[in-house]
Amino acid sequence: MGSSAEEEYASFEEKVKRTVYLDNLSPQVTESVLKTALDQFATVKSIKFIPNYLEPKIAAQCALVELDSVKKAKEVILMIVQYPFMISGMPRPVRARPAEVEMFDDRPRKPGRKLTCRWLEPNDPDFEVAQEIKQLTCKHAAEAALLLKHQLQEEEKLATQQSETLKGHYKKYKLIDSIMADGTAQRLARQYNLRVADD
Amino acid sequence: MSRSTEANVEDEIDFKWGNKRGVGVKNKDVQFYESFTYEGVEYFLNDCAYFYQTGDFETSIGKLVRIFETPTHEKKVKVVWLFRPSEIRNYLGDYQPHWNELFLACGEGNGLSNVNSVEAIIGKCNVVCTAKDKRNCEPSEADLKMADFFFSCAFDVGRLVIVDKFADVIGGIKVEQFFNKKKVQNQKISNPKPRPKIVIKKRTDHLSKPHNQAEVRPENVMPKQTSLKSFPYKKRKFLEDNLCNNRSKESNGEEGFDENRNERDCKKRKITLGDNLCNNRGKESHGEENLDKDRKERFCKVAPQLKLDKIVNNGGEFMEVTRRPGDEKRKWFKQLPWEERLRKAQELGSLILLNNLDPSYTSYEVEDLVWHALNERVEARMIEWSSTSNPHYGRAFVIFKTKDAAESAISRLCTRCLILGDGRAVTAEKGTVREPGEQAKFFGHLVMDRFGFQKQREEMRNAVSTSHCSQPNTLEYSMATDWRTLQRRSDVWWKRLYQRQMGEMQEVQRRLKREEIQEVQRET
Repeated sequence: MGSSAEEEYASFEEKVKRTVYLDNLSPQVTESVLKTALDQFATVKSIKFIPNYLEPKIAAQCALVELDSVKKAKEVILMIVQYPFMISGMPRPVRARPAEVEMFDDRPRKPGRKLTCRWLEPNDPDFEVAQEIKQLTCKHAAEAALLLKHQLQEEEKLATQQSETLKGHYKKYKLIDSIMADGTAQRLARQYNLRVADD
Repeated sequence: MSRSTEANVEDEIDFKWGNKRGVGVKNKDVQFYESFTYEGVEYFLNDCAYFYQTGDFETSIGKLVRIFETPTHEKKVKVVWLFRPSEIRNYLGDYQPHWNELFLACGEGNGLSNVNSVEAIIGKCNVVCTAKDKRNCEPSEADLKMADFFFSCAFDVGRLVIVDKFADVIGGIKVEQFFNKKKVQNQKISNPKPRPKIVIKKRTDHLSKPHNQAEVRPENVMPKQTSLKSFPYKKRKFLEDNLCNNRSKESNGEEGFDENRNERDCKKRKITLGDNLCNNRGKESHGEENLDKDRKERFCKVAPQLKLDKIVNNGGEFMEVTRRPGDEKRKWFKQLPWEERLRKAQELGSLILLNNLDPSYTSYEVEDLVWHALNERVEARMIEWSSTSNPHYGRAFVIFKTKDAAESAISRLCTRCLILGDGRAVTAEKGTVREPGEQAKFFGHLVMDRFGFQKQREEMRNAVSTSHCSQPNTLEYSMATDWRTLQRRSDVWWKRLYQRQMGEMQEVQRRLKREEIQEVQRET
């Protein structure tokens, strides 16, 4: 019993090492898209999207991708860290990092670990401190929620700004395109004795 | 264990008869009923239910064929048993039972039927009959899906054999009652989720109050704590402050005492607290409260004896969380996907979210923890750690069997404190899951369909349909770099926040007086 639990845990740990955690994924990314995207670098053994039950505002997905070897996992992470890697859209790149044990909700027990707990009655000398810990827990959760909101705002800001820039570029290109098309460019070139390099 | 006595206590507050059916033939004082409501669930004639048998680990399943009240006002049900394969394993022969198959008792002899107290019922059980018998209405696919168990054969308790032909009468009841009924089926199809409805309909707040009260020791009954939830926040706050002030005053006065301090301290505190509470009770006499008072007082007398030895007794002492019994059982049954179960539990109100767990706990360990600390068999899952979640806090969704159990768990975790071995205090709140349809906007992927350039457009289309690494000489690359910067910045700010939070938490945890003990616990 004990040894089998240890074996199970060891094989689980090995699987964690082979797994890459990806986030900043567009909600349009599906399992097959992800598989095709990473198949060019390594054999994908399994994909699990981590469901997000708590934050309704986050649209970005994250996923655990199990690859065939630890080495490949490291390579894929390195590659995605070095070059902005786009899946199903641009220019927001996906992000990769090594998976961790806590990312698996079905992780097996760590063998040999003991858990303890105790109930505190209101008359216990530690009761107040414990209440304070609880309050702090709630406060911290609220802070995290606020920061998350901030992050989403930043993301939105960047996205709008980029789309403005892109529109600007688009306009410029269109202008160039149109003067090329209606002969204005050639006319001007002739006037200034320049050669239009469109050949 | 003390299940049946405990049930006795509960039925005082959570039992209601349904429609009457007639009186006994031999004894006119026996009143028969069509249904009753127990612990928030309505049971009808011919329903199946799980029964608890003292000393038995496995529950029994039976069909309610009579519901009646004796002249001495005992609430009884007559049950015809459905055997689990394991119960009749010596007589199975070469019959290969399905994993969720049961056998209806028939014939004459011991084990066919019994008269039981209502309190022995644990919960409803959905059993369908799949027997190929023309008196039986074949169950639909949906029925089978909904069912916890099915039976297609009977077990003759006299001859000790499995039979696939059903006699006309079993235990004095026409066999048709045991088969699926047309009417019932239609109902089921039109109303695919009958359970939540029943539970919600029958539960009122006021019923649950005494129930919660029962968990609290009488001498430190915080009269408002259980009902705090129903108070507006301000008032609640005031109350809590009130309690805290008194307490802190007291401990200030007693600082610098010798070793015995603790003990004395506690005693004294109890008394003053009690007084203080009495005052409070006066201040906030709430209509409902007075109504319930009688009942509650009775409760406080009975309840502690039951619960004390189980939970309260080990208050303050560390207990080791071992595996709960029957742990392997979870693998026996196929279940709905977790997400659906979550939503169902949310609808039922039996979902809670635990926070400040050790992040390295596994889902199983959380289940064990709840089993040991709250005496509830639950299903739990740790929430996966993601790049924006605090690595120091473990959170878990826990699905309780009933709404009452969940509410009582929340109230217990709020009024008292559950401290884990490393000094964490667990908090609980009602769990809410985001709706599947709720789709937030994803920022950062720009739509390029208005792009005028033929060549570029093709590139873009390719970019969307596949994946690619950005090349350093493109516009896309510079935009992607901006995103990279933002991602990096967000990493930094999360890290900073969590570092600060951890610092704050450690500061507070340091003040736990029992830390020596924890250190020892941690080392062992």
